[in-house]
Order: sequence, then structure tokens, then C-alpha cells
Amino acid sequence: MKVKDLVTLSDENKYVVVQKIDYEGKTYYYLVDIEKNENIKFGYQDNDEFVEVTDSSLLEKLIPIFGKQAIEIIKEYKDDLK
Amino acid sequence: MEKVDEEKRYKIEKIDSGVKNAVFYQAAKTAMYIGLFAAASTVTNVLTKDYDMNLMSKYSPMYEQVIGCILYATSLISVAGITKGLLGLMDLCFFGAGVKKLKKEHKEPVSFKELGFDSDPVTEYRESIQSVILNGFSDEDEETISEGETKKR
Repeated sequence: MKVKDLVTLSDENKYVVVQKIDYEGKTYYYLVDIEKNENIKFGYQDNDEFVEVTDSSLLEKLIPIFGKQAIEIIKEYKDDLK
Repeated sequence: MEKVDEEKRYKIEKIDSGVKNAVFYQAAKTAMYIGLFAAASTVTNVLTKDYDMNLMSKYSPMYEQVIGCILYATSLISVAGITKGLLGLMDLCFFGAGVKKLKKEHKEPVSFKELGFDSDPVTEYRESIQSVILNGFSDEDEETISEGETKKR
């Protein structure tokens, strides 16, 4: 998976790969449902499966990192949408 | 918070490359709001020195009022510059004061549309973060399948 890919998971929803980060030796992805933006997933890819992170202590560390990176993405794209 | 040990695994059915910029931008905005709110929550927890999701939920309306406005303005400043960011914050404040005044005059709930807004930015923002952050990152949202879509491997 890479950023800006559209991923269809077995829950039959389509997710945009908004971000990916490397944290403690693993690559984590931030997926956002394109039809219902509040449906989000954080996780990693394990072969042909997406494994969602459910450990709240890990999420507390990952989410702020994703949030800050998202600001840079928005700065980059806002000009394209003018 | 309790740890959830059970893994949630989803089979990757299909990967398409290159969504439209507008779609990606909208998704990235949501990501940014959630991330910033989580970061602010972490800071708030440090200040209160008592991290407890029940406590957060109890005081969340108050936190939201303050943090929501700050984050909204911060995000606007980051994206659109200081002027627009501050104007955005002012919009929120004036809107809040305007709603209060109209409710007092009309004694009925006033919709954003009646006040000339196309959408409800505050509620939209709150709902998008609240369902994820304050409900413990659960995956209980109803899922719908768009009509006419086929699943390809």
C-alpha cells in the first residue's frame, strides 16, 4: 500500500490511504473511509491482510504523529484545489 | 483504558492507485483534526495529571468548547495563514453568540442554514473526532455498501 491508494477491505468499505509512518520498526497506515470520513483505521499490512491497531496505548502515540503529518499534507494540496 | 488484545484483521480485497485530490484532501483534513485533538487531549491529560477516559468524557463538552475552537483556528492558520485562521475563529465565536441570540428571540432551535451557513462546521468537526476519540476507537459504525458496486479481487 502507498499513500493515495484506494483500498477495499473485507468489511466492504473503501479507504483512502492518507498517511503512513514508521514507528519502532513497523510501518503503520492511516486509512479513512471515503464515504464516511469518521470511519478510520490505524494499522499495518501483513501480507494480504490489514491488521487494525486496537492497543490504546499505541494509538495514543501514533495518532498525534499522524495528525502533525496531516498538516503538511494539507499545505501541499491546498494550492492544487484553488 | 482497557487494552483490547484481540486483533482485528481485514482481508485486502483490492488496491487502486491515485484517488482524486479533492477526495484525498477531505480525508487528510479529517486525519488532521483527529490527530490534533488527540495531541491536545494528551496535553490536557498531562495538565490534569489524571488520565481517565471517563473523566475525559465527563469534562469533554468543556474541553471541546475550548480545544475545538483552538484546534479549528490552529488548523486554519496552518493551512490558510494567520488572517484566515483568526477569521475562522471569529466566525465560530460570532456564530455561537448569534445562535444564542436567535434562540433567545425565537425560542426554537435555529439551524445553520437559517443563519446562512451551507454546512454545520462545528458539529461536523465534533462528530468526526468524538466518535473516534471519546468512544475508545471502537469500530461500531454502521457500514453500508454503495449500490451497484462490485467486488473485484
